[in-house]
Amino acid sequence: MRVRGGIVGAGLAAFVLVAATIRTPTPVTLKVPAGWPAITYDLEENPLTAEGIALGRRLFYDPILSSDSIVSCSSCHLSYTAFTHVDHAVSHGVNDRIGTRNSMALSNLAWSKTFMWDGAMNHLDMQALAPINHPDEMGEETAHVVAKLQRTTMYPKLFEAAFGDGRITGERLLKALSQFEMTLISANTKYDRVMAGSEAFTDQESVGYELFRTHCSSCHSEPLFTTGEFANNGLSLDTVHQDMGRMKISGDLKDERLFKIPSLRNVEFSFPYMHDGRFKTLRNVLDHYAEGIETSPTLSPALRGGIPLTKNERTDLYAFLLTLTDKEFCFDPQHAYPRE
Amino acid sequence: MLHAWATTLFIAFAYCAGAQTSASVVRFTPSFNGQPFVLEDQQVLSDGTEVSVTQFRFYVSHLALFANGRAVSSDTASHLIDASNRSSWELALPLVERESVDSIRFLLGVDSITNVSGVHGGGLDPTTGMYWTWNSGYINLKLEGECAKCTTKGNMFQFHLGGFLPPHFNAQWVGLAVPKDVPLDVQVDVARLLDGVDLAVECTVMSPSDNAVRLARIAAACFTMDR
Ligand code: HEC
Ligand code: HEC
Repeated sequence: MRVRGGIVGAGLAAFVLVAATIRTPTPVTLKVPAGWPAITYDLEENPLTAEGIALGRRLFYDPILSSDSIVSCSSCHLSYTAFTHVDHAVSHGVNDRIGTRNSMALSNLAWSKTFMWDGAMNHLDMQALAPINHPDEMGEETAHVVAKLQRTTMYPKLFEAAFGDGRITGERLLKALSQFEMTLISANTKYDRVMAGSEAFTDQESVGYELFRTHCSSCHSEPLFTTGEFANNGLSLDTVHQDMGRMKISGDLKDERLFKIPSLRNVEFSFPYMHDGRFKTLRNVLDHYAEGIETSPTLSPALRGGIPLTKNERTDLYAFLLTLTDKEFCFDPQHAYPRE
Repeated sequence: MLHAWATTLFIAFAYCAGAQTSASVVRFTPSFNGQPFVLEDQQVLSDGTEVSVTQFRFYVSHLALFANGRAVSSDTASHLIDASNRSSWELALPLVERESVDSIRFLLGVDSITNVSGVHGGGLDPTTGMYWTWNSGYINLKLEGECAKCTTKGNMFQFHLGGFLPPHFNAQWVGLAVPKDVPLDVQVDVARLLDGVDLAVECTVMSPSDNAVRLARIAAACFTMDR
């Protein structure tokens, strides 16, 4: 028995040794929540691995991606608040420079078709080029970031673990970031548990949910709480930036003032609200839909004349929106700053 | 690590040694108004305007050699050709009999699929600076330089031609008849592109637009194979 154990032990040790020298990255399967649509991201082009995700996570939290070595992705996307920058109407970047748009809450990015408020980026991989190279955000150049990473002792090893050799390229940098971002799946809200039958809404939440299905879900459709399309939801043109939204990208007049329909998962944290952060509270948002819709040629037909909501109904709707908060997501240690 | 280097070197040598015999090579040579092109040098356009080009780079994709209307050798990849890097001027294709080749065809730029399918490596790696960072899309062709006529800061002209969404699809197909008994040598005359713009009024094109498409058409006409 002893001898056998010894042989098995030696075999195992040999296996571990071989595995350690070949160092093939460990495949990871993305957990698609039950009943959800298929993801948009093509994982065949960038298979998830434990090492790739770990590298992406490290990069996400590392200010080496910015010119002043202070700003990291997490400066504007904080895990504890569903990866948004709470209480900042527009983003703050390197040297305290102020951007023109409100930071977005990040979750379920593997399902997104376009990125940014105007859909300027068409792929998760490419999205990170925008903050890295934007003078008001991280103020860097991709090639320079890659050169800085090459000069460290840590990163060549991490890239080797993730991609088989220590070569650092823009492609690998972006793929690693995508891998980490894809793991940011928010699917355990009270709403999800109610749908799964393990919990129940309060009466007020139930009424709110019905109102939501009637008035909101044509755009904020379940289970992702967005159709991923663009719409004009009746905001007046902001006077400071005159942001034309989707039209800037498509050049099409029909897209004037259309913005990406944001997911409402964890909406409790994404205040202030809308692309320019004009509304401080969810109550302000509901008041807007009920009383503040501005008519313009591109206004979504669903919102013509506003949504009739009494004050009490707004309170019920508010109660429902709070069931979209995912505490587990916000406090998942796998999403947080990588300590060790 | 040493091993990897040795292998790379070996492959590199094998490749160089075999280039003449195992591949058909198409060479893209920049020229300027019929003269040799020199980067960062004062050169003269056909109307006498002096310009100095600081950067000239473009993508060639889907390069194919044709014989009697049939593709006999091709490569779907996108290659970045950079005036400042001679080794990027030559593209190797699977070997075919030179005599049979009567035309070549390529896409000046990057195709739509590549533009929407995430990040790629090699010449398409975003560290090349050939990908816009404010809006998705590859820059098919970058031409930058200085000209006293330009009213911009530093008298700079910057033409970044790209765009893959209609109506501003920017990449252009180029088809050229191949003359007999000469190497597969494509000339690209940079001056012809600048001849096509009035530098006193237009010095900057940096986003997908009608203007970018117009310039891309002019750029496509800069490629020739006649001697
Ligand atoms: C200075 C603040 C700031 C920094 C730093 C920053 N972001 Fe953002 N992020 C924003 C803003 C603002 C937006 C919305 C931009 C827009 O619409 O133009 C955004 C949008 C996004 C989106 C799109 C989400 C969606 O649903 O469309 C993703 C993904 C993202 N950021 C990831 C990152 C990553 C990865 C990094 C680090 C490489 C990063 N961000 C760094 C502020 C920032
Ligand atoms: C016609 C489509 C449409 C309908 C219907 C709609 N919305 Fe929206 N919603 C949007 C768009 C587009 C935005 C982003 C607008 C912007 O920032 O310019 C948005 C933004 C929001 C935001 C801000 C999210 C954030 O993180 O900033 C909240 C909250 C919201 N909607 C809630 C609702 C509620 C509740 C209803 C129903 C009463 C509703 N919406 C109906 C399209 C719609």
